[in-house]
Amino acid sequence: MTTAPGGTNNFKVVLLGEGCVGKTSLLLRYIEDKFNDKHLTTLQATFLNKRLNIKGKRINLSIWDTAGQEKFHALGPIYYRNSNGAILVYDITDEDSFGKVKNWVKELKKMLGSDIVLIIAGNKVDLEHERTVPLEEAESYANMVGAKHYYTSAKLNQGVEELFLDLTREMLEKYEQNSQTEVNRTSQVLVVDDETPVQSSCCSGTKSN
Amino acid sequence: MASSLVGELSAAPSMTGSLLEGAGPAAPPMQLMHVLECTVDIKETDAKGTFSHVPKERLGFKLRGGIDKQVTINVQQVTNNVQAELDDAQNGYTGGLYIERCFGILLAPGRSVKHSDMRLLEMKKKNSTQQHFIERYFSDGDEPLLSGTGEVSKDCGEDVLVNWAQVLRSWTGPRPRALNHLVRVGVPEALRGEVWLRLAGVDQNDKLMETYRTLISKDCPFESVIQRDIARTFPAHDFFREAGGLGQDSLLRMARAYAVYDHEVGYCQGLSFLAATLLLHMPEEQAFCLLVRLMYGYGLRELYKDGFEALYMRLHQLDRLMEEQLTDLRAHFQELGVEPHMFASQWFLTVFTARFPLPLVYHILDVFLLQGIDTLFQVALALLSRSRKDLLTHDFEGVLKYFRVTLPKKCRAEETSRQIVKLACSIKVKRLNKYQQEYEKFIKESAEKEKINVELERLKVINTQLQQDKETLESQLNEARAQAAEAHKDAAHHAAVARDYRDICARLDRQLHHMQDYVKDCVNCSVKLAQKDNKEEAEQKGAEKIEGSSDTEARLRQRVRDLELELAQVKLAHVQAQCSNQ
Repeated sequence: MTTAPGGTNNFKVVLLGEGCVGKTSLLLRYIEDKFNDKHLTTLQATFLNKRLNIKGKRINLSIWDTAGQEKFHALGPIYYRNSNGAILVYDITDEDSFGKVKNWVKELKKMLGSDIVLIIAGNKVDLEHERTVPLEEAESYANMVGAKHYYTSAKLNQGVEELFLDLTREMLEKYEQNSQTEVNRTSQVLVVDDETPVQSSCCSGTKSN
Repeated sequence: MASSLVGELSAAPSMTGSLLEGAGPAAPPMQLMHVLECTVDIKETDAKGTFSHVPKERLGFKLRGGIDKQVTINVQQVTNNVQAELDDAQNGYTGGLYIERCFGILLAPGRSVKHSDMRLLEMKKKNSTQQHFIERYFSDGDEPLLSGTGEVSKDCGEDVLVNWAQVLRSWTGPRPRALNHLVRVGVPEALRGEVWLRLAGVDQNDKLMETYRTLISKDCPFESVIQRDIARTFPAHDFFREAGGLGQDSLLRMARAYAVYDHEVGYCQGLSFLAATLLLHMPEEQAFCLLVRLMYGYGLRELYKDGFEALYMRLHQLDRLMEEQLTDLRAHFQELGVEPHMFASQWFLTVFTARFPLPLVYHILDVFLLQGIDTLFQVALALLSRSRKDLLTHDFEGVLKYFRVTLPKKCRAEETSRQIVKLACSIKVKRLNKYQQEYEKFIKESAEKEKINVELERLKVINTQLQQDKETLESQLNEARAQAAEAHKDAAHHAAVARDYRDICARLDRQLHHMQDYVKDCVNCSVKLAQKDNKEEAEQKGAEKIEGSSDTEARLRQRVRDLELELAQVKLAHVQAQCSNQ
């Protein structure tokens, strides 16, 4: 997260999930309000920007859309590193893709702790009749790991806008909280600074011992 | 968005080019006048996918952004040459203009467009009257090009075919010399299938073809992953457009067979584009053999293996080549934080097949099959150097968007793809080995660094532990020291008290002796004392026989006791005084 000189808050977001669950479609719907039935494979992560206003604050979302196939999993850290938010997408008609979301949650929690806002999106609700991932399971899982859960359809434009808006709001909240604690932290750092010489003499003492 | 459409009919010059050819020197100068009427019609797709006319405004058409457009330009000759009789005298000239070739139209969205911003769009269809052509224009500047876009013309000059026929005839053993040049110029579309197979050394009776037939009958663990990609591969091409169509079926079979054949790589996204490119030129079995050859023989397989390690090595090589040849662009990228993997990983993994229009895709593959992996760098550098000026003006987002959307669209014209490949072939790629070693060294070092870091982390933990231990011990030590000091103080105090007592005892002793001496001088007392002593001895020996004693004796004894008591009190007062003084 960086703050540009113009007072714009810049948040980094990453889209993760199994191949063909609709990551690119969700993004395309959100940014350009389009849906393309002719899918594009995302082989190489793509980068898109979105500017918006929330609570009178100018916000810029830098979004990385990643390749879904398992093979590309190893490249994940390049894109989720320093992210403020992650959207984990699965296809409600594909149970494996939900399993993949769980893997991502585990990895992100391990690597980034609670610094990142997690959103789980069950996409393709226009295919409700083909659903295989049970509603309750998905929601209770999301609840358990502290992620918000959304149902979306990039095709019918359902839930997409809300998802990104809520994500941005949460990231903003977290950022404001953090900058609060940051202030506290800096004062603590000052105290530590004062003690530094003592510590160093202590260390040299250890060496001479 | 309402945008005006700037259209230029670049076909115009070629329509008048050969008019005077038939006129001999003796003939009077011909006065030819042709009037051509051009009309432009623009249609947009509606919700149902059919094209309908766009509304017209006073100065032009009213267009909407993001919608497919169909541009029809009708060129109609309204008057023939006025001097019709003279025409008849010229050999077979009928007066109508013969349009030999239409290249397309130059288009760009927006008002007051610079000439350099216009894109040449080639014809999609041409109707039989030769004076009417249709251009389909995907006007939306933001939408990336679909894979498999672009028509590849099958036309080929007579002389080119003659040259090729010669080369192919003489090509029995090693590659003939003349081949290199011909391939770099571009293999004629009609010959591509055959030439590609021969370049890669795939035999007509390759055993692999037999293997292929058995492979397709086996179960493939990647089935579902492959299925997802089939419809997303070359959706813009008729052959692959239909679900369950011939193209998609062959592609599915081929990708499955490859995944079974190559356990280690299996199926990886990106492979389908390469497979589809091959399938457009040859039967499935042959395409499979060529794919295997490309992967194993040309080193592409390495790129897909082991978490893309080799791919990253290649990207490092590209980065260094850019530093060497496109210094300012590379510096610009570094400043923005654009890294080669953000634009070139797809280029390399798919040999440029996934995003670019087909004429360029095929032409690159011609050269790749001729000269191998170096081609990847040459083409990448050619694309970068052609886009250099544009890229230098963009920011991070702009650069990435340029690679994703603008660049592939700029390569649509066949002429452009010829220029790109020509430029690519002229680029020297050197020091790849050095860069490879450099990268491997870097990786090794960072692995070691990582190891050291892990070790460091471990030691840090131990250190903290020890530090804590040390602190506890130190505090314990301090406590003990304090206790010791306390004890010392106590000891000193006790010693002083003991000394004092010893002094007191000595003094008392002295006084006692003094008293005894004093008492001895008194005869009376000494007698009494002696008597008393005797008596006491007698008392000790025989059990207290003598009870009675004189009053004087008793008084004296009493006196001695009193004196002793007084002495003791004085001593005590003295000690107390001393203590308080201290």
